[in-house]
Amino acid sequence: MTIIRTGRMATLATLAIGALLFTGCAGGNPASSANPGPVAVTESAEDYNLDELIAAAKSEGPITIYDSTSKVEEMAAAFTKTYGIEATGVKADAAETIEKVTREAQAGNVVGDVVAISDLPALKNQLLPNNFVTSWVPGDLAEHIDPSMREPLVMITDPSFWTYNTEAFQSCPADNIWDLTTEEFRGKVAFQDPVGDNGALDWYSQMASFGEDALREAYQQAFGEELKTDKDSAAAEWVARMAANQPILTKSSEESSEAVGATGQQNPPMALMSSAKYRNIEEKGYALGVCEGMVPWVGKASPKGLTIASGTKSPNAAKLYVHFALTAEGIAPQIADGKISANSSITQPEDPAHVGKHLEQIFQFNNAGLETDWASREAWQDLWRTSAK
Amino acid sequence: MALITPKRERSTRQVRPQTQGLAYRTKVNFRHPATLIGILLILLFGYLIVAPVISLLMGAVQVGFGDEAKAGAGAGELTSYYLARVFSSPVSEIIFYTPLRNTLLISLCSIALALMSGVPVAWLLARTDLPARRWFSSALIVPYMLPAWTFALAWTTIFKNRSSAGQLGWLESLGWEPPNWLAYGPLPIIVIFCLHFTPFVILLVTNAMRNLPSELDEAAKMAGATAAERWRRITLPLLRPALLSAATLMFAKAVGEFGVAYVLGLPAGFQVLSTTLHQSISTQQSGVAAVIAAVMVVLGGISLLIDIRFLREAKRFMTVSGKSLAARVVPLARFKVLAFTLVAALFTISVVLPLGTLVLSTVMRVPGHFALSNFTLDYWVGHNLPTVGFNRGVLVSPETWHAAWNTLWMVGLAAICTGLLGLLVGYVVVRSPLRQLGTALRVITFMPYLVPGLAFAVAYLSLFAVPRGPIPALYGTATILILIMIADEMPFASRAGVSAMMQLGQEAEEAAQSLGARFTRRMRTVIIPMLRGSVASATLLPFVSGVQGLSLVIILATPGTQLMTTLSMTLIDFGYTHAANAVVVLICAIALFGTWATQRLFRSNLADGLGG
Repeated sequence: MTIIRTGRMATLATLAIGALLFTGCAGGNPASSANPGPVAVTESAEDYNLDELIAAAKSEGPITIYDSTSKVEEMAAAFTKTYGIEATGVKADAAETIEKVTREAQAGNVVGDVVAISDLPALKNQLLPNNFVTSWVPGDLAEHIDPSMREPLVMITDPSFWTYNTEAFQSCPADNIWDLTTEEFRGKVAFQDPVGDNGALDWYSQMASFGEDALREAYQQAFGEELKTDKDSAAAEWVARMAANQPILTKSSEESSEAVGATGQQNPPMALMSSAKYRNIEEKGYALGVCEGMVPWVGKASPKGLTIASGTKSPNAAKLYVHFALTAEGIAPQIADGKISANSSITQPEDPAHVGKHLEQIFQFNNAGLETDWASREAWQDLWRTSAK
Repeated sequence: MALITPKRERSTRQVRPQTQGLAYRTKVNFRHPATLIGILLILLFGYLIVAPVISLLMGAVQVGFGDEAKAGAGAGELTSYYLARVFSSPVSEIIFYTPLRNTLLISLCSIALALMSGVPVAWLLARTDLPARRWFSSALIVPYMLPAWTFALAWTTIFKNRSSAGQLGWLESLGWEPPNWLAYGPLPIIVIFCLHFTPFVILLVTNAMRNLPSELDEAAKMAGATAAERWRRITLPLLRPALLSAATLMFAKAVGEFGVAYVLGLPAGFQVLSTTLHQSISTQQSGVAAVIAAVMVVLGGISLLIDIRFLREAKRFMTVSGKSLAARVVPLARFKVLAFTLVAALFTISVVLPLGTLVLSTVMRVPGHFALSNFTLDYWVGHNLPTVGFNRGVLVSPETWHAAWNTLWMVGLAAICTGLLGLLVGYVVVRSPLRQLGTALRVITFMPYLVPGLAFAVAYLSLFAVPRGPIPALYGTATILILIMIADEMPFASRAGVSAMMQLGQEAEEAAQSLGARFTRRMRTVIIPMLRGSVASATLLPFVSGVQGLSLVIILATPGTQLMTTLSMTLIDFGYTHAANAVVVLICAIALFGTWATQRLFRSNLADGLGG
């Protein structure tokens, strides 16, 4: 019996070790694999000529674009139509894109040539330093792109607005974001669960880095006294109070829009939701309105970066797509529902949330905060979790 | 020589000198075809299962990209940072211990409930003259063909209340607001798991009950044992392998299932391990995710060990001897109506209600508003719908048909491979004289069940995005989807194979062997025909769960390989619930069609296999 048992243990141990060696060789650990793909894209935009780029791009193979919206299919089709270069748009969310881009770069088997990704901190701290992707700013458009959006290049920013139900209320029931932390709004604010949403965590971090004064001023305005807090920032205090106020947590912005906008509700909640969800006014008959004049900001805008896979076999076609996505024609499908192009010379089209009207009152992200955002995600997650108890 | 069975060989061992015995034993062991097959299988599964799992688990102790500053070490170096964060940080209680307790609560309660409802029903279906039992034995499997999260969506549609705001729930619009404990949190999750798992119990236990020899029971009866005593001392021990199989499978499933807890737990702040795992993955904390995944693997491992321990004892019983056939039917007499009512009630709750809710939600413009003008078929066959991203009805949209075809052929192929591999595993486990080989195979093939689908898929992506030796890079192809489906469904198949082979006495095969039949011929003409019913379920279960599985494929599916489940998720992302639910109804239809086709293919009627 003992013999048999030892034998079995030995077999199992051998198996385990064998498998371990196997995976070790197979490169389960990303850092140890030698990376770079065949071509590296030059980053500078000095000796840049659009016509030459177009000519060079046309001689290259087809390209694939990863983006977080299904609008990318439309954009790719338009690109193909304009330049005759075959392009395929693939919808993939940020986490998925990061995983794919990393593995593809390691394998030297690049599928996604252009990578649009809404997780800028991850882009800045994971993909760029490892040279999996490269940020490239078209020289002829650089002057229209705010310096805070060039490193890495931002394609669009996605505005979200504090939103209320226009059927149940004449005007927005809150006029200051500190109001939302009071008893009156207990259980009456809907959020996409921030613990699983990088966008929300980064927003808190950005407010702490760049919105301290505005938040303190707003506090003074709301309660008539100066904010006293033992937290590191006014933003942290706001987040903690918000988490403790039993907000309605949803799985997506789509669900928040339903929670707020479904008709026939008594005393519906408010929510911070993407401008794109205002299409539900038309599609689903929801009653959604922007909280005009909310202090200190009527909403926030999160950026989406646009980069080129370092190992792409079609670097010029990829560059041409980047250029295309920064023109009015190219970005049209995405800004039609309220996204804002990083190219400030493009006129904001009309959309159901009237983004153009609120441009000045939106809290804008600053790329200078990306390292801090990345490093403090867990801290914000933990703050929310511990405060919610 | 070839006729010597391991048992007889072992008994002669003491007589021989030790060294000669060893050499002799090795020779005999390696002559047995089961040994060779076993080695090949271990190589195959080492590649498909063990390698991805280990690469996944390594993430728990290796610094990931971008975490260099937090962990204070370079990417790829060993670290205890993630372990510390999960097990002993200020948030451990929130991200780990509470979810762990909740997970155990949910899984144990739902297993107990599923066994309590499943076993009596299985008995009614297998051994009594219950009216319409053939029909019921197919119909009661339907809940398993629906993705578990659709039950959760149906539950929310009916029971939701004002604390999640938005559209009125059905009960609300009828004037009654359900309390929070009924609308969200542990209770609905347990109920849904129970509904979703009961078919497991019915499938596995009915099969076993049908194979119970009636001699033992009759002998006990003659000896004066009461019905209760016979049930406790004879039937239950004989059923133990099936019950344990069912319980172990359900446990792992309950630990890994994410969608239900996500939909129903979130509004109540109720977290389980799979939801914290999801949070970590979606915020790129792959290290923390790996630690949590590892804990889930360990939990499943413990349940497997318990199972193996009991099965070793159960090995003494062989219930299919090939001699005595189906047991005698017990007349229900005056209990017939009662039993029929109970089974019909189970059918109503687990099939009619959820499926009905789902179907109704695809033909009503505004949920819960029961007026004739509110009904429409637009979401099925309409054109130019206002939903811009998907502006045609589900049945007239080419995307649906493309996805349906992909689902059918990929899952179908994977299921057939899985079923056959499962039988081979069973053969090795039961027949190979090298017991270690069998144990190793059982452990390996069970692994995927313990690893949450999402994490398993991430591991696959990282391993198979690169060419390895003779195998090209598989990412973006249908092959990788099929491989991961095979790997992920092996637990079903290998357990079905093992329990089938265990019940099959050796005599028939030995008889064929002594007549000179070679291994392949014995498989073809003796073993597979005798186990036809088991082979059918070993193929059917992977098919059904592959058709409705989502987490496994959502990362690996590319536009060319869109499946039905990924399509319905895309539609949910858009908020097109009508179309998404319609796709789920189609998923169920495909699963039903597959069930029918599987039965045809194997010329076996599953209803028979289930005791008709």
